[in-house]
Amino acid sequence: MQVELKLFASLRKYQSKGDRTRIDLKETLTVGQLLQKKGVPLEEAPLVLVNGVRVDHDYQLRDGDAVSVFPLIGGG
Amino acid sequence: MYSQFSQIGRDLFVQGLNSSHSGNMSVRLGDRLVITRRGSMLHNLKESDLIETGLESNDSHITLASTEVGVHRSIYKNTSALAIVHAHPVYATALSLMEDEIIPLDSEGQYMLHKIPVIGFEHTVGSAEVARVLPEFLKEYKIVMIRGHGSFAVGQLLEEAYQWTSSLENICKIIYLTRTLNGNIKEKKNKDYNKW
Amino acid sequence: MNGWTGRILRINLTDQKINIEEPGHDSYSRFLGGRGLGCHILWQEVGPPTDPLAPENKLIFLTGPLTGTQVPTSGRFTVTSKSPLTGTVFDSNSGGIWGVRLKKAGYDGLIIEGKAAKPVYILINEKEVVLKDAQKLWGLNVPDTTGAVTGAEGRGYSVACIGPAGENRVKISCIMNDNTRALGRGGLGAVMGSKLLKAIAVKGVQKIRPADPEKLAFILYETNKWIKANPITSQGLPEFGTPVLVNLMNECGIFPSFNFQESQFPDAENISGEAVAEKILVGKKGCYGCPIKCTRLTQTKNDSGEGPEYESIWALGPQCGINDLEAVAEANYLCNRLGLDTISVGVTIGCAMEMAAKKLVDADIRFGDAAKLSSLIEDIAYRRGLGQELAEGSRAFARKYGGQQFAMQVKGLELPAYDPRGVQGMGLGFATSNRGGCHLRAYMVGPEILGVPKMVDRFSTEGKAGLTIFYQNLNAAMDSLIICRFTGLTVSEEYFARLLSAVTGADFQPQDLHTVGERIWNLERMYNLREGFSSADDTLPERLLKEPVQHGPSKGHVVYLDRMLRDYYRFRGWDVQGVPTAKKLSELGLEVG
Repeated sequence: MQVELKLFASLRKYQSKGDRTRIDLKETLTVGQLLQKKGVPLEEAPLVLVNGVRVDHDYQLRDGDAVSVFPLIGGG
Repeated sequence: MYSQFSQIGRDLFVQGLNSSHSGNMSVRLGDRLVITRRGSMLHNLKESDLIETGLESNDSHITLASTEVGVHRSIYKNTSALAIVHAHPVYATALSLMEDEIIPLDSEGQYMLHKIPVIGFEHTVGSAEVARVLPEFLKEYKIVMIRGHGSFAVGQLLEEAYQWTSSLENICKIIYLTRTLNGNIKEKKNKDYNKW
Repeated sequence: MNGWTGRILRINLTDQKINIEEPGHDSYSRFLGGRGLGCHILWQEVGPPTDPLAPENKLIFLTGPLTGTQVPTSGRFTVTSKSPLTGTVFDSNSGGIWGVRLKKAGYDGLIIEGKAAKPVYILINEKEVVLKDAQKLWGLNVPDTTGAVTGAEGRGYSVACIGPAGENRVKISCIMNDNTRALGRGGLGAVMGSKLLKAIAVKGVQKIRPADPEKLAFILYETNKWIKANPITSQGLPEFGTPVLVNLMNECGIFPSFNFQESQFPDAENISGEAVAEKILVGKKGCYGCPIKCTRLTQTKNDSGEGPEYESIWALGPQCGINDLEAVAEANYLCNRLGLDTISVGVTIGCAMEMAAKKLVDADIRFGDAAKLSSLIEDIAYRRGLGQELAEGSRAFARKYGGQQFAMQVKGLELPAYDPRGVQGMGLGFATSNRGGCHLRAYMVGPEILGVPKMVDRFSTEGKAGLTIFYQNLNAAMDSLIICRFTGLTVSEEYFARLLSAVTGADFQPQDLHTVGERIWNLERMYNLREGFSSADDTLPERLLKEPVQHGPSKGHVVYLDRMLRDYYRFRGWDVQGVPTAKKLSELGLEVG
């Protein structure tokens, strides 16, 4: 199973420059488990979108999911 | 609407903020309000447990709505609240019997609520006096305790009102525990909050 | 009375008469200051059929009761006028330090009326108010004007001025203060230009004393704790500024591009807050009394300046199909120098690009043409060539060439950087805004996208009317205090009411701010109705109501406006035509009939 993981804003620090955004998963994971594997503290990553739709950390990842993760941000 | 009510109703029970048939919740939709049915189990709400009625006047099936619909109406008419959670948190209710205001000892409680007024009434459930006095406090505070009865919390959304309720109970648990410990509190950070 | 100086200067440019007036306690407690008081004055003094660019229109500069106090992000002021772009009552507000200095000179505000015989600027300090010859300044851009005035008068002065765009009465021109801060929207620069008023320089050092310093210190301590604890105000905005939103909005599929033909932009990454930080950022800056410091100081190969902000990046970038960050930043610097509203400029150019592509306009412009951006912007400011027509804003431009549906505006004001088809409440907010297509009246992106204060379903229309009204009222009060919107992302009206009480010594409860806000909102509505606006103007561009989004997470959606609008009128206590009922007006103490 393959998913795409993109970290934004201050979460960039958990992704090294050369890191591939496409990730092969051998097991079924939740978004929260994936983030923990990547060393991203969940409390810093409250805003998770899968294919543009907001989900909770317990969302079960499916093949082909595009996961975008943000800290709490605002502006405008 | 239903999914919000059922989720928050379940959480209130699971967190011990309500007993099986206690508490009620409502949201304001302009000049209408949606409130939980009289005697409904908030942890197990069905769609038919949500009763819609007017903000000003009674609709025909109003007898189904919570006995406290009058208090909810009065809060909506006199504050900017869009959601109300009424619960019976155990520690907060116990503490309300002994205090005129609850001032948090823990920093999260201080950040969130600063202090929680406690109001005493002769008749606590659904009375006209509660409907008159409570909104005056909820104009200024997010959550208020009625002595020996329970909490009323307001917010823009149910989740917010739920948050204040849960936060209040936590504050009260901490106060209870520190009192049973019988020692001296090392750092009293809450001395200013009676000014809030 | 603490919090207000109680004095407003009335300056008539026609006969050069200068008076000091005292609005009185009642006006202050009912309207607070800023936006509220401005609307109150404009309602009384400027009605139909006044042409916004005629001497009879007025330009009202106002501070609020919190301006210049220790309250964080209170260094703000507003300008209110009848807008030449929309024809509505219009207020814009800005930070920097100009407003603080005006108040410290001893005035809550200025009412500018009439028209000078030749270009002038106004000099204000604690001792005097003088009209000075500005013929030598006429034609100068914003930094040169600012430099010339402070050079002549001394560095203690803060300058609000117009650039060439305002002089040329470009309807999407702004007033700039402190060189780089903008009273951006609604073409207020053109009103200033029509009066031949080039600049207003203010200096003042009087102390602003709160009524209850001890209480103020305590509430400030609580407020600042939140600003430090909240990741939005302590990390996101300080680290990335407002452009931090680019990627989020794009990932959500509400980041319009190519004049709202699409709701995502393939190269968003290139122009994001992260890209700004990585490629062009050289420093950060804040307004008076601001701990957040969201302003970006940036540098490109050929130029440097402040910004671009989220909205400006979007308008000058994706809205025009442009993905070149340096070109966008340079276009933004140019708009600031010429005194142009970046949002309206970008949206109007994008509209022209689509109309050119559809062969409605015979012009050599196309989406993605970054190289042409600067010259187009100059043409708008100087009203040259196609710029002569673009200078009228997107609605007038599109109408002229028979493509009204391609103007992405509401009531004449160009829309900002959110596709409401994927944020339903924001759609209602745009449609019902009293100043036209604006995101600041009710920032529904907060609950619908950011989860502030809590997350709601962005595609649902349920509950949106109530929330929109809640924010419209509250924000009207905040714009009258005057507090930056970003503080509102962290602390609620509970804090503002307590801060206001401590500063003024009067008792304000949170609910009072909602009431003041509702009063302001209804008075603005009455103003617009008096100008001939009706419920037919509470709408959105056809595209957003009829063309479903083609791709991305918002695919298939339009704005379901009808459902929300009916509720909105009812919940507001207005009739089905959107007219405030007599009952509602009397409840708010608005005897305006």
